[in-house]
Amino acid sequence: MKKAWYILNYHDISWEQNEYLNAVGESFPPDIFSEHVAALSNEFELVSIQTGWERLKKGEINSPILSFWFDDGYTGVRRYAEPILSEKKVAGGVAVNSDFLLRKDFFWRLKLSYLSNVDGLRFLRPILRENGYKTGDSIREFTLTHVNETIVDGINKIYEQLSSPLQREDSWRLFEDIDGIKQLAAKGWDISNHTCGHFPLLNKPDFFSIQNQFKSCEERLVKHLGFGTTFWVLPFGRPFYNQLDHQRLFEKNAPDDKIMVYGNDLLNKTGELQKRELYRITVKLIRSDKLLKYLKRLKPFKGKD
Amino acid sequence: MYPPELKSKEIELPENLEKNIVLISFNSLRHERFAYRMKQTFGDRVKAWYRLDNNRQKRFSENQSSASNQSNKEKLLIMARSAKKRSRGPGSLALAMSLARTLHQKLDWRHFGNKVRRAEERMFGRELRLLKKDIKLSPIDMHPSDVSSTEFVQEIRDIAPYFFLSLGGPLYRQELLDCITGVAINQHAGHSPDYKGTHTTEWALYHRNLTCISSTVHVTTSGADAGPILRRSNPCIFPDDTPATIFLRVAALGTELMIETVQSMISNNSYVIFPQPITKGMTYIGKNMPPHVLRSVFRDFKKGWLQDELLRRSKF
Repeated sequence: MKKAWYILNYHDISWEQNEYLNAVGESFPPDIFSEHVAALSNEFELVSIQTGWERLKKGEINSPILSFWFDDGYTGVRRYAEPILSEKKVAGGVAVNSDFLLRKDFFWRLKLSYLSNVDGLRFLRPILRENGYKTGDSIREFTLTHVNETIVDGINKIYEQLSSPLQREDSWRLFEDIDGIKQLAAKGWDISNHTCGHFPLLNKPDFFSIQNQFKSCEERLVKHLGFGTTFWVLPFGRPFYNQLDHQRLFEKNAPDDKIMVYGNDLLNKTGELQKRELYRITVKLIRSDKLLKYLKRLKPFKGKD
Repeated sequence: MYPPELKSKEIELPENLEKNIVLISFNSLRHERFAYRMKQTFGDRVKAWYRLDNNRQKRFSENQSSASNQSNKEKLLIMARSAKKRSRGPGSLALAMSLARTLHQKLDWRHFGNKVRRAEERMFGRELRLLKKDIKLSPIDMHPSDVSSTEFVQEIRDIAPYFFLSLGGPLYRQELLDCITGVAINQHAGHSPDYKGTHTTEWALYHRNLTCISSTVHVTTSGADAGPILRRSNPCIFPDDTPATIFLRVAALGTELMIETVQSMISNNSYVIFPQPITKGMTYIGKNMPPHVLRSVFRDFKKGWLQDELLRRSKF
């Protein structure tokens, strides 16, 4: 492995993958995660996000180091991932969305997954067609690249029609609440900002909307958790999708103390060009041997064109 | 999650009682994991853990002879009788073929059982060793037929558990269930009401119905997996999974759903139930499973059906 900081990005770690999650594939079984951690601990020094960041800043990455980051704030992280990592005496990071954390608005992608499971997408298609969708296109992809307020309203309306209030109330059990996040923070986990509602902000490089999503989330986190965040984790940090525009805007305008976190499957190495951003590696549903092979092939960030 | 297709009903639980717990399970690793996870979560509330083992001597003598006490000759005779019942025509050739099928089926199940045991060690072995290191829990071992004895009913009556939590085991007599002061809850490795009974994960796989690979936590009644549903959800399936690992994921999920359910019942005195419609679904009985079912499931997995199906599900 290369002398760099590898940050692995997972979502939910759980024995469960219900109708809200099975179409979006956000879950990872605990036994497989445990297998990953065991295999990775043989190849890397496992470090917390804070330790990794400190070493990166000081240029002290003299061996391969690795951290774990979990997006969206699922309850499975505290229940299953935390005990596995604490056995290795390492804390992870969790990127939370204030809308889910505070039970304001449920994750729109999970609503789509639910609709896909209950044959509800047929009611959504007419709304999508008004926004340029063509029959046969993937709704999953289309919504990622074209999401707007009309589409989100449409998803919400159909979801409410096809689910009971009891179900909607129960669905919150998937997401961590304030107490759960405080428990993770008390165990040395890094809590980061993942915007309010997890929308694909990169589609329109409109910095103000990005900043608003992050800023509102930050305000709410400070209010409810009592502390602010260092890392702003970009939702759907897909490889190089309008990212250069976004990075330039961010570097120019973002508060000085914030570090932007992307998901480009790149390694983090100390260098002049990498001052205020981090890169993470999205972990696919593969066994540990395949994961190690994949990690060996990855390259560090080389700067912007 | 709650079953979206069923109607809910709110039930009040008896108040002002000590919310103690009695556990009952078999003795494999998944069953032990169930007991230790309960103890880890609920601590001193757990008053007893009855561990069922087919190879154990009976604790109470009034029961009829058990399978473990049968000689090989008796077992063969039973098998021959069952083969005769199933033979597809008169004559010794039909009988011989039926006997071969019965034997083949038994070997298939033994083979599958070995796969489950190996996978169990891989999936739960380490976790269970860690749990056992931290938690003291002594099982009371007994034969499954002991569950129906009057002595056992009396033992439970003396403990007067608020929660009677089970994973596996025989059907429970109403007399026994009446001793529970709160609620008896069972975790079923199947999608009730559609798949009740035994081998329900394998049946759902045979029907290539990933939606019905579920774990159901339900109120225990004297019927097989027929009590009102408390929670039901699908396991997190890994593309490399086998029928054995999927079954174990269903079992692990059931334990977690049971924990959530009991936690919620401890903190609230009311809970939501979803009565199962009497006319919906099917109760599968182990003995009725034709030999081709398991082989078809294995064939599907060999051809990559699971990977294809998971991919199809994620493309919408």
